[in-house]
Amino acid sequence: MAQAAQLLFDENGQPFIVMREQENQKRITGVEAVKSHILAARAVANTLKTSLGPRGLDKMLVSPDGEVTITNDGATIMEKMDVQHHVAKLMVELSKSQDHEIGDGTTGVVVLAGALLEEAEKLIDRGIHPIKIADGFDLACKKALETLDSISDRFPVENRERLVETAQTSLGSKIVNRALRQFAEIAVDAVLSVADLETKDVNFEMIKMEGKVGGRLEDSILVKGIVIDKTMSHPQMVKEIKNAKIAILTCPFEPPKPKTKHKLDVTSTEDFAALRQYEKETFETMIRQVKESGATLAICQWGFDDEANHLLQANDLPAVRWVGGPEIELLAIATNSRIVPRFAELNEKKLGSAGLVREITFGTAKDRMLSIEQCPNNKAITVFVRGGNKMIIDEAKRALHDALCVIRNLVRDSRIIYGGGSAELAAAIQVAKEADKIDGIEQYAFRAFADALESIPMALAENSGLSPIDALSDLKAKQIETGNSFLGIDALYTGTNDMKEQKVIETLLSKREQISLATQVVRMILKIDDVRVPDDEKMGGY
Amino acid sequence: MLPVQILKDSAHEERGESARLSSFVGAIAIGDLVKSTLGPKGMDKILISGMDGQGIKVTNDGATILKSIGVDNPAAKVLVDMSMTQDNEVGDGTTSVTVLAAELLKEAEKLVNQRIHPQTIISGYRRALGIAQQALKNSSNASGDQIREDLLKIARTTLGSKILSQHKEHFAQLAVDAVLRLKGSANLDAIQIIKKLGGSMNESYLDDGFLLEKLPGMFQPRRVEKAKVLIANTPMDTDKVKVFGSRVRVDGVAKVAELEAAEKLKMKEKVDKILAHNCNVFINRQLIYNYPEQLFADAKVMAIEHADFEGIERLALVLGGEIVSTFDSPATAKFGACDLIEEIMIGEDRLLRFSGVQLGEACSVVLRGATQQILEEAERSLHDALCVLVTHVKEAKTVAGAGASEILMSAAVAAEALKVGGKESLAVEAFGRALQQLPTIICDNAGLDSAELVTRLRAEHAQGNHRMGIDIEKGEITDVVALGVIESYNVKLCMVSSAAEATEQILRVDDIIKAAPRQRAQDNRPC
Repeated sequence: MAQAAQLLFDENGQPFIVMREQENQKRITGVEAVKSHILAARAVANTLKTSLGPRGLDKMLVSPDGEVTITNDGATIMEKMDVQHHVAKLMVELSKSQDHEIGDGTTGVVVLAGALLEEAEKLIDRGIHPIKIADGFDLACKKALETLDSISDRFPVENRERLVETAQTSLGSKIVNRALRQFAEIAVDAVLSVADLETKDVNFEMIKMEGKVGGRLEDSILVKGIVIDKTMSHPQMVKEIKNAKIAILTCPFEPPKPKTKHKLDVTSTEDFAALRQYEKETFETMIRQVKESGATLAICQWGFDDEANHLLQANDLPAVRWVGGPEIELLAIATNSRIVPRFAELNEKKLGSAGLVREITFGTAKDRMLSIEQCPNNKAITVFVRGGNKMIIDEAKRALHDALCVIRNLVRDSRIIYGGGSAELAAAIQVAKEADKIDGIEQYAFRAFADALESIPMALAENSGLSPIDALSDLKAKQIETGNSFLGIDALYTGTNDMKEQKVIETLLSKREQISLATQVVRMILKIDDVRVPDDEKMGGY
Repeated sequence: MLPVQILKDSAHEERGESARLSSFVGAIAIGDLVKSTLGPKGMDKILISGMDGQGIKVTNDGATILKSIGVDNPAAKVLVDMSMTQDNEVGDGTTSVTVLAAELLKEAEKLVNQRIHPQTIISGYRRALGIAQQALKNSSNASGDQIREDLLKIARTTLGSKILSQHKEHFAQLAVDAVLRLKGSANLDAIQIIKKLGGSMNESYLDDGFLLEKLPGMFQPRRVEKAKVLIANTPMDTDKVKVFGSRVRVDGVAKVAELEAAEKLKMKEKVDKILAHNCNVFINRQLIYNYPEQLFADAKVMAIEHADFEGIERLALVLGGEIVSTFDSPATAKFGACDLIEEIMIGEDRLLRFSGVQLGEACSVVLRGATQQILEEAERSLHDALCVLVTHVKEAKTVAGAGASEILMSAAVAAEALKVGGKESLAVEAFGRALQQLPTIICDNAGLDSAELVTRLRAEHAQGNHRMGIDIEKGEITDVVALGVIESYNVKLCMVSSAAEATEQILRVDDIIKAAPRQRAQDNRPC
């Protein structure tokens, strides 16, 4: 490689060093670099490929501490895969950004990027400059997005039934599909209850997900209220409160701690006695203040002193301690209460209310949780997931999150396209058609882009146990012949290729984002032609 | 071109067939490990834990075995996890659930080798699960009035496969009595199990009072009738000043003495306040120092220190008192009460016994046994039995035991399999075969001719005799319901569902990615 060029000579013949420690760095350049990157990216994409679609399989990931995660959520797999190759890391980022932006389609985006790179490699072998390929991809991407827009459908967001169907598409590929309908309804109801249809905004922070091991997936429910993993601070406090007035406190039931540093010296017995008196009074004042405000339940972010705890109990004031920050905020929103930082600030107006507060018990173990229901602000809700073991619950939560995202995207932008690879195929056909009209080398890139788009339905067919090439060529012929762009892979063997009939729905937003994100990353990878990696960290693989 | 490394150094990835193979092998190994403990004639395992081989456990409780072995195979971990959940949820059937899941995977492996897509197997299994659940439901009987007899029978069945089987009549009575005292509440906390070394197992008994492994302080009354108990959680050593930043600074010896006196006075006041409650027993969660102890002795009050937190909560529950931490309002404080507190001897140890307690729910079970291991195993067995009984009280439905339900489900699944078209049918059939394996293993463990017995049993079920099962003692087919071998519907249902769920999870995997293990000290645990 071109390492000798790094040692230059000035006009006097003195050597000078442009780059230090050449021998300690690994370096690859030019086509070789691009090819090695493509290889790495494709390897990652190949791992994910088998997770695509309703019949895709899961991946088992073992963390450094030996914990097992089983998932088919692309973003989660990528995150836990422990990659070290820099380009593979780019793919991880790609999947993550799709997750952040859209929440769904994290597998598809990686598979698409992998396919694009595979096509690019072929072109590079034919001697086309990577930049030309990148530019061609960019143009093709625009065309594909246009096509998507043109085949998109309006979706009746008001129609709950249709929303449930959409959620079912998203959940269909996950383990929760044994209770598909139920989970889809949970997701839809959750989003609809927090969604603001006027501003088309969905605040996910209002949806809390709690999981508890035990029971079955079918036992999962949507609680209109908040469930927190806490119990009453004193074992003998009442376990059920009706029409509770809730005081939310962020100050501990302890003697006050001034922020400024101070020392209190006890020098005589009088001081000692006075101090005792003070201590006692502080506790009593605190309790009195809470009681006087009319609260029937105190929720506190901090701990209680034993004495305070008993005083609360003696005064019939149930209390919950060590409630986390985000939970406190959710509670405050749900119950319409103010978060009170000091006891003295507490008054009746700042209290929240809830129709029912109760402790729920599970199984034979002593697991208890506190559920706060019938809140005045029904926007805060909790999805409570049950399942055979922790891995199932985690996976169910991830699946639900994806479904929630899909519904949210629909609320934001009601345009949809149909799944099953139909949209990709339609775009591919249009892009291929367009290619013939282009003069210049970009034409090849255009065709390559179309081929790459076809890889999605291809992977779907493969995962479903169909013969991929047969299924795809059949489908393509049909789409061109009938002009019906809703034809996709019949992954579940229902007997029809029309995705509109099968009700396999995806959001336009998600698909657009997938294609444009994948193209961007591919462009970026194609443009790299020189990589240096410091060798001393033993990161080397070259 | 140079090789490209994508994952970190010691991380590795297994794909497709090899991933599937590794999870099948792992899960099946776990199944084989616990297989021999299944059934009334199952054998126990010795578990040696820790570095120096100190803690030895002898058990045949599936969950305990799986908890103690450090498994590395991820699929095996799924099974272990599932067994734990079964333990938490219904308490028993932890071995069966693992064995069933392993058998389901074994069948699935055969199907995968026949080139059937895992998702097809999964949907077949799901369908089969539905059929099995339905069949189980149809065969279940509500207990109705004779719940006590049913509970006894269930307890006998559960205990039959444990170390307690020699004394199962005795322990079944004991467990049922204890559970019935709970009066429908599922609060197992109220049942306290005290293990005392020595004596033989049938000397174990149910004490309807409450036993506390603590003694009153010196010179205090040893026996209190009509006790009025104040249960507290308060420091009785030196009462610290809790105001932040305070510290004691003195400038002379005299001052120290003064302060000491003040401190003493403070404690005295506290004790006086407690005494003002007019109680004759004082139980504290925290330590009681010798000075207050002496004060209590002077006042002829029984004072018990250091009852740990659980003990205090249980005491409060049993005696109907309130845990107090301040003593300013004697009028409003709620006292616990019981008829008699006395010291009793069990073996070598002295315990306090609270009898005639208000809340009839609570009771204590005293277990006796020759070795620590026997005691622990007895406790686990009894715990399993109690859990099952509590579950049964919640939903009082029974199904036939001794392999009858498994064969029943298997037969129902096999019959339905014929009606299913397509490849799924093979999976449904496989599910039925896996279910049939459970009674087969139980027979094998008992040294019986499993092939003969299970096929005969199947024939009986085909003729509609759904109450037929295997009498392990005699080695023949009998009406097990008449024999009194019944199990709780809930436990069985939970077992089948979670086994199927875990199997599905493992089957869906086609790729295992292991991250580089974190560097750490060597793990010397066996396996």
